Amino acid sequence: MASLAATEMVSSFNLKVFLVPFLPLIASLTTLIFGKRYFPDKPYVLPVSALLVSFLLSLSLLFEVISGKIYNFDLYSWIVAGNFKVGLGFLVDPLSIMMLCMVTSLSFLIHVYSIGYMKGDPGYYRFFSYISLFTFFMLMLVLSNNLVQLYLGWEGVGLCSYLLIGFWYEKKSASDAAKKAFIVNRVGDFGFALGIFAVFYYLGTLYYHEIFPKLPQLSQVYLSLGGYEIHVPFLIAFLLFCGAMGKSAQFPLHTWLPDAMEGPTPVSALIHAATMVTAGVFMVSRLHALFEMSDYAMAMVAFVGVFTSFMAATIAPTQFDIKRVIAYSTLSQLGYMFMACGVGAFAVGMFHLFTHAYFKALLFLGAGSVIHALHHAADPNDIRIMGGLRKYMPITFWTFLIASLSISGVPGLAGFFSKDEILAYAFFSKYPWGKFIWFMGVVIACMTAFYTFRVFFKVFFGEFRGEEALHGHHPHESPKVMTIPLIIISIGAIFSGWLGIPESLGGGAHFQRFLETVLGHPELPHVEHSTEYFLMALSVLAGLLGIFLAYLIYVKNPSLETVFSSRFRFVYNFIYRKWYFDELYHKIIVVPTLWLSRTVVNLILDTFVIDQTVNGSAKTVEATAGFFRRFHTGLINHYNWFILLGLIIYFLFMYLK
Amino acid sequence: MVPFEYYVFLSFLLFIIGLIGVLFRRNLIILLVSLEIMMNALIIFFAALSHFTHDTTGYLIVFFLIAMAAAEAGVGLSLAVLLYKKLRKVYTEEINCFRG
Amino acid sequence: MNWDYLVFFYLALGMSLPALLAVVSRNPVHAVLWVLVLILHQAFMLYTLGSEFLTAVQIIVYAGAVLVLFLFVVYLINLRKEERWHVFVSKASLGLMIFLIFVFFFFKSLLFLTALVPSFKAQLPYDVSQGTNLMWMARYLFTHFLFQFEVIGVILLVVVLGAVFLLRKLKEEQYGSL
Repeated sequence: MASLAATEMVSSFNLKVFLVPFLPLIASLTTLIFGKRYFPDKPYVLPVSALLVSFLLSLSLLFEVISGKIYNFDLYSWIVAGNFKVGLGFLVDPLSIMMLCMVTSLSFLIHVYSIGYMKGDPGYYRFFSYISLFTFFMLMLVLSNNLVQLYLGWEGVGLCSYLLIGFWYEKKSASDAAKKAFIVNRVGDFGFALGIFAVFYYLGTLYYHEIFPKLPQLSQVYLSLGGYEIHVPFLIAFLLFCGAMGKSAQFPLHTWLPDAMEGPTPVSALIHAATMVTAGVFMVSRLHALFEMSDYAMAMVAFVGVFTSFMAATIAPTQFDIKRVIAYSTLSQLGYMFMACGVGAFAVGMFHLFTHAYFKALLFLGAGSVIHALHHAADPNDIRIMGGLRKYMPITFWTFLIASLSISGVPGLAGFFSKDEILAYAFFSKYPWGKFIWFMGVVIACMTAFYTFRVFFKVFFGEFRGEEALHGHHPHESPKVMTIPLIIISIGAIFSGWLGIPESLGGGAHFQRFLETVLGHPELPHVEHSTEYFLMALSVLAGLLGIFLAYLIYVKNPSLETVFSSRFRFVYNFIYRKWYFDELYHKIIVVPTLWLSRTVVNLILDTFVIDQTVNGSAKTVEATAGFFRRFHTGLINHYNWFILLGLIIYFLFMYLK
Repeated sequence: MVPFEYYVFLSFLLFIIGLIGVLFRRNLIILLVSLEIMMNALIIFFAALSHFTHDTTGYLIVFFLIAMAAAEAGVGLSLAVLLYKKLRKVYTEEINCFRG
Repeated sequence: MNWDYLVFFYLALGMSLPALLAVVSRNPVHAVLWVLVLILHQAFMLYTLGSEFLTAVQIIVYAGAVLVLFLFVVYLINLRKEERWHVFVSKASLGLMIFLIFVFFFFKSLLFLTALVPSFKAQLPYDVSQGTNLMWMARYLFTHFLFQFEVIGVILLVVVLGAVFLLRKLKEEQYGSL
């Protein structure tokens, strides 16, 4: 089925498509309203079953899309204001159906995982409600057929991210992290909104199927701003990319993602690995035609991606919190996806998104399993108290191993195929920065393998270091409700890559062909298979080198651990402190804003202006009332005089008319 | 027949007399009595009006006025009695509980 | 001698004088009795103005019910004689000025009204040769003024109920803010 049958466009309402996002919404709202009282023990029943149904519906829709159907219909007209018309609509085409299947499958499995992970938490029902709500918004984002609904889903997932990161809101660090995530996101969303305005201003419509035919009109349009001529497609791409930077945690809006690990691990797995953070990549891919119109835009995407990827890959090896390492790994892999987009290979970027979703979720859920086993300890996330867990948690060990191998690009597993495709397309790309991207990609692949296996070896090999932390208890394997999703996702982590085995290795590249009907195929000047094999071998070697280095340092010769940190202390500190970005932002943005709000707004506006106005009006009323109070003498005769006076005034009016 | 203006003047005079009583007396009962005098002035006026325009409307207004005066006297007197029962006073200058 | 004018002036005097005396009297009983005199003269004046029905009504209702009510209340309250006049308006000049302004305007209005009278077209005409005043009044009362008639009935009912309600026996603490 490498080639699609004739495309059939369906523009009328389809119940299956409608139910896919709305079933989780109904489940979420019902659980939120009724969950506490009516099923406090089993609040997960509704969300889990809703997600299962959604997933099955997505599968059936997948078959329909494969056979050539495309759905594009509006549910109802949401905003109609003059020329501006936006509806709540659904677009089911290869790109969105792929995201749909990925989101629903992972969401379903993580719901099941959470049954065990979050058991006993007082906010049990709230958790399921929130992740179902999140799934709803993510699905609305993916299924949208216009930019405004994309923005709706965008904001909605941001909101749910806030709710879920700060799920344990009594913990100050958690609520701070939630605020940070939301605010940093908001900065990006501001640019995104401006981008949407620009699209409407220049193209007059916000529906995808109307924007794409009109885009070529903009290819020579420039906006003059302050003496500079700005190419409009670049401007719009830049503004929209601001949103992607915020949502997908790219530099400079990346600081929220590591702190977001304060949320429960299923949240990290679902939102900050597989779905929300990939929304930025999704958006760039959806609007690839716009980005391809401007070389500057493509360069921007590529370089932001590569910088973020590199930065995250340097920070990850120094962190001790298992979830943080995986968070930086996510940052790095997202950078990979943007690198792919930046060289024109959007379909390959989405392919990596797909495989990454599975092995990253697996990594997070495995980490969650470990954390759950160690939950009696003071800081169950710290890898320094872990070790030798492969004896106690075999299933977690094997699945974590599969995920680590996958992310390191070991042949046969999913990560290998998608990563290699990216590197190959980067090398052969027509853009001048392709080779640089390829080179950095290989370096980063090596580092990725290194830090992933660093964690792997420290956690599962050696002696268990957490005896005192756990007060003498031994860790044990997690319950089945958690390990079964692990196993299922590990199957995905292996085989999801097999859907896109490139032609050079004998496969049909089905995945990419499927998506290329939407995303287009990048022009490649010339491709030689021999070069391809050479590049493939190079990247595999890089991955294996990373694994070997990790093995050396963390298993063979543990004393090497501290060599780097003591010898190159300055560099080590710089990396360990996350390149000092948090401190930088704090100085530049947080402190002035706080100063501004405390002195200017609070003191001047609040105290002087508003308080005086309020008090002043009260005083005026008091004075006026005091004046009129003297008329209320209480003596009836006085009142009679007033009646007379009133009558006289009436006469005056009559005579003066 | 006496010209209409004479009746008007008479009514006017009675009204003013009643008004003086209402404004200047402090005994509640006499206040109400002055009010009645004012109403009677109106009665004269409307009756004269009706007579000189050959229209029954004025007489009917008089009819209603008499009924209304009775009603008003009834309510006013009940209130006066109530005040007296509570405060033991009928002089308005001493009734200062309405002040404020 | 024009008897009309004579009757009129006697009646006018018989109305103004008692009014004045009622207003200035010290004793409330005297005031009420002067008003009685006023009523009787007024009733007769109503007769000269063509409405014998109203004469009867005035005497029965006003003199026979309202003034009796006044007297009952006076005895109930057990009033004494007043001491002296009291000037209420502390600024007597202001009061006088307001009063005079009112008088002026009132007079002007009345003059305006009287000027209208000759050209007035009767809406509900009556003809003495066709029937008595009572007949005409009844004819118009129960057709054109039916609603007002009913309303007056309700008002009187309210007064009765109000009087009963206001003056029911209350325990001491139920007097309220009064």
